Amino acid sequence: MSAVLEARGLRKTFANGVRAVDGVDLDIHEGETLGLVGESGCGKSTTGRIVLRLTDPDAGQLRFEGRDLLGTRGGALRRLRARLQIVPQDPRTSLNPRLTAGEAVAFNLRAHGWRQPRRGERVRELFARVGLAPAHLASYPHELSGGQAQRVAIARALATEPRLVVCDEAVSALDKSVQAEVLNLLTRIQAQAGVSYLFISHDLTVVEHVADRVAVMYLGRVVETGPSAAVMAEPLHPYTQALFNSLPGHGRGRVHAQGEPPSPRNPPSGCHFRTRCPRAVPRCAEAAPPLVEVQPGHRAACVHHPAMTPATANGGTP
Amino acid sequence: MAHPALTVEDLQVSFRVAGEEVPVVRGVSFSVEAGRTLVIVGESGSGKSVTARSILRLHGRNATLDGAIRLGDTELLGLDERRMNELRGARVALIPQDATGALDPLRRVGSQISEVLRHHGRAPSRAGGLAQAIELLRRVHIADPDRVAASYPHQLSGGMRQRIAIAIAISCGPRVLIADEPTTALDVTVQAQILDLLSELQERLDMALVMVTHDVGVAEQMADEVAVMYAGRVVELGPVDIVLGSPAHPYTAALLAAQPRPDVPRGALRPIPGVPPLPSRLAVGCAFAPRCDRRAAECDEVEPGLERSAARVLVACHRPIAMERTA
Repeated sequence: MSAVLEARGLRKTFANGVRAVDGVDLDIHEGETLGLVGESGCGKSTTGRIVLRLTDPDAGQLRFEGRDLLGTRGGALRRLRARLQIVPQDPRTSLNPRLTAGEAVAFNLRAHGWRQPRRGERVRELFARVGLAPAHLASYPHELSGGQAQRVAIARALATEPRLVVCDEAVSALDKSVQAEVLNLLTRIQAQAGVSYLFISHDLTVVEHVADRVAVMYLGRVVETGPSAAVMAEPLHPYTQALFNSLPGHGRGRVHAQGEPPSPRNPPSGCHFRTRCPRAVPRCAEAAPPLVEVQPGHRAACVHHPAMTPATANGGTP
Repeated sequence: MAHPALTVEDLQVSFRVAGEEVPVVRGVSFSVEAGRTLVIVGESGSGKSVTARSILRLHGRNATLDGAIRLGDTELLGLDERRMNELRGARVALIPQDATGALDPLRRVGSQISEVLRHHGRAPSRAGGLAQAIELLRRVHIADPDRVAASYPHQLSGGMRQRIAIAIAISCGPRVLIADEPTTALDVTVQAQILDLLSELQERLDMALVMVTHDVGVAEQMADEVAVMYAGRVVELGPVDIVLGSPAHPYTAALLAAQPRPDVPRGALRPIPGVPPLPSRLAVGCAFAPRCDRRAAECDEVEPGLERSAARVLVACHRPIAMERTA
């Protein structure tokens, strides 16, 4: 299985001092979904924007289909973007209110050199693929329901046959009955087209359902990564455990993370989670624990894990 | 028997929009006893928030309310605005979804809390009000109440602001608490803390709690009873374990089946086909019928009323799912 995307040591600090991404490694393989999960301010969306080359990182490497993505600029980057697309959170604000749904999809095709009449055929074909009636070609965003608008956004992303689609909270604004429809659609498209997804979400239950592997982020760092089923069955990092314990319906009065996340401008030394962690010890303040492989493919960054010995402490890659 | 803390009977709410009356809540009835929690679950546009806010009569002038809303034995719908203002905050209080929008950005937290106390005559002096405000902050488990009382809302986190909104809501000892999506804007680890806090306060203060949410998980955790709303009506009402454990209304069942769960294979989630009807274009018959997999001829002709199905459960459906079918 070859990696569509390899990210190493991504870092980004914004001008206001927010350390949004603090050394993130990611691998996304062909045809797989990597779920990137975490709470507000953990850096998951910034990571997605770096992958899309919408934000320049301060440090790190990024390889897309084996090519250096950060060194690619200008026309070469524009051409490459055909293969790297986004489905944003709120389609009703991301779609141009003055373009019809058909025009929105055609716009992306035109940017990548599709000419008429092939462009029009392609738009109709994409509408069929995402389950939109041809009548909606002429609909404006405000005339569409949330689910329909998100289908337009998906059709637009798929138009240029991307290899990787970054879904940034792509179903978060939808009611569950509609969300289910969009999740099924994304799954079906992946099965047909072999596209990979970086699926960014704050919603653990959605990520669990849709992702092959997950990476859990906290204050700019990946604290745990592994196959969804393994992370779900046996979360290793105390933060991941706190996330699962916090899911409503998992019973009242469980042990939760204490307090709220500290400011990403001034994260705690060592392990960023230690100030809220029920298992924190003085050692946690000394150095950031690296991601250590505990079971095949399942890594966590916590000093408490028995596998956390200097010999294996070289870290790993989600 | 004493009156329930809150009784809502055949509540009808419509809004005048562009010269047309749009019915948004169409005959909702429920009651909540002290110390009990009713959770109203529904999706966007189901009328759940409008129902909750009607209890405090918080709608604009274009709203028409009909039916009955009683706090204990006090009928609210006939009251003039002055009497209503005395009751709001004192006997029935609201925890809003967005505490940030509910707090005054230009005033310190302590003074905002003591304003409520002074409005209801609970604090004789400014200094006394502030001392009580600090005590209230302590009751919602704010660790450093003095600092927080002297802070402006923007200096505090979202979770902290929601705790302050809760402190304001309980400040005058209301018997009924209305919480409108109180944790929707919060991260999941903070949401868990706020839900625990609400449960704790409710138990300690023996309040009736009406909570509105779109999140079935939140309903499962918080509710004694659940009211499922669709297109302005309650379609199923009963004890949480029965309604969410073996739903009788096809909409409740469909809503539960649409939830993403790890045990459902990928791509096999069961969305509800179609979209809810617009309140301005309701057809005769059951509002859910066009999307329902149990639809029969009568469903298009007569809107079903809420009727007792299984023990203690009310269902508005001509063809409810029998208990054994879901077992």
